[in-house]
Amino acid sequence: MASFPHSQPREYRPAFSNWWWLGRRNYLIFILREFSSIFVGYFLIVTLWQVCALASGPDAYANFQADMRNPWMIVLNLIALAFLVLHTITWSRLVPRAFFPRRNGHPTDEMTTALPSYILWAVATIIIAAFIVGA
Amino acid sequence: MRKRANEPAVWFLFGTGGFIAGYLLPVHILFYGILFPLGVFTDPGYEATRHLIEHPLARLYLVVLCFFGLFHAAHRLRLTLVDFFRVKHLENALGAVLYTIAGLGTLYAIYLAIAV
Repeated sequence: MASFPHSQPREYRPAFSNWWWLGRRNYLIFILREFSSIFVGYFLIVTLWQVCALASGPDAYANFQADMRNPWMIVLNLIALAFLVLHTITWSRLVPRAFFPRRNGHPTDEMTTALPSYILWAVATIIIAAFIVGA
Repeated sequence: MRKRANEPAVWFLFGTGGFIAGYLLPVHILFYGILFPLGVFTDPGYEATRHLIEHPLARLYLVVLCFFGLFHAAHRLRLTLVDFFRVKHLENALGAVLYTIAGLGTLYAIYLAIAV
């Protein structure tokens, strides 16, 4: 029986660009949304740094405040805020709907599940802002 | 199925962390990272901020925020790096590194909540 060493079946691997996330607007938003996790981690570390400075005394806290006034830090924080807002909006639209996918036999309307989350976000923001500013 | 035994716990941390970070962190960045440094609002300063963090509920807030937020970030970053760089074979190693960082961050938050 003749053998055909070059005709063995191989796994089909479709061509897949490293730039797949630039292919469609939805892909780009998806990858930006997922990378918001970097900025969540970043500002939690800043928060730990702030509390560490508070625990260390007035001079350490003054240094922390001076570092935060660095223009590059402000730019970084503006970017972090934009990513955090993207995170909260997309999370509010996606996750509550996963818990309540149907209502009265019909798919749940996106705003019906997202709106309570936006309201909670606004309430939490106002309460924490009051504590921070009035500290 | 045994392999998936820890998935509900991981998803609980991930899901809760997503809400906690989403609701609480933007206002922290807005004030401590942007408005106070720019002078738009007057920074309450060391004494008042220290007084705020010394409250038992504020200490608990710090630990809850860091615990859920860091585990959320670690879990999501693990999945994102695997998708973005297409390194499925590194998923467990990435998970080990990121969850360890999240765990150490949480321990540090607990230490600070006690020490401050």
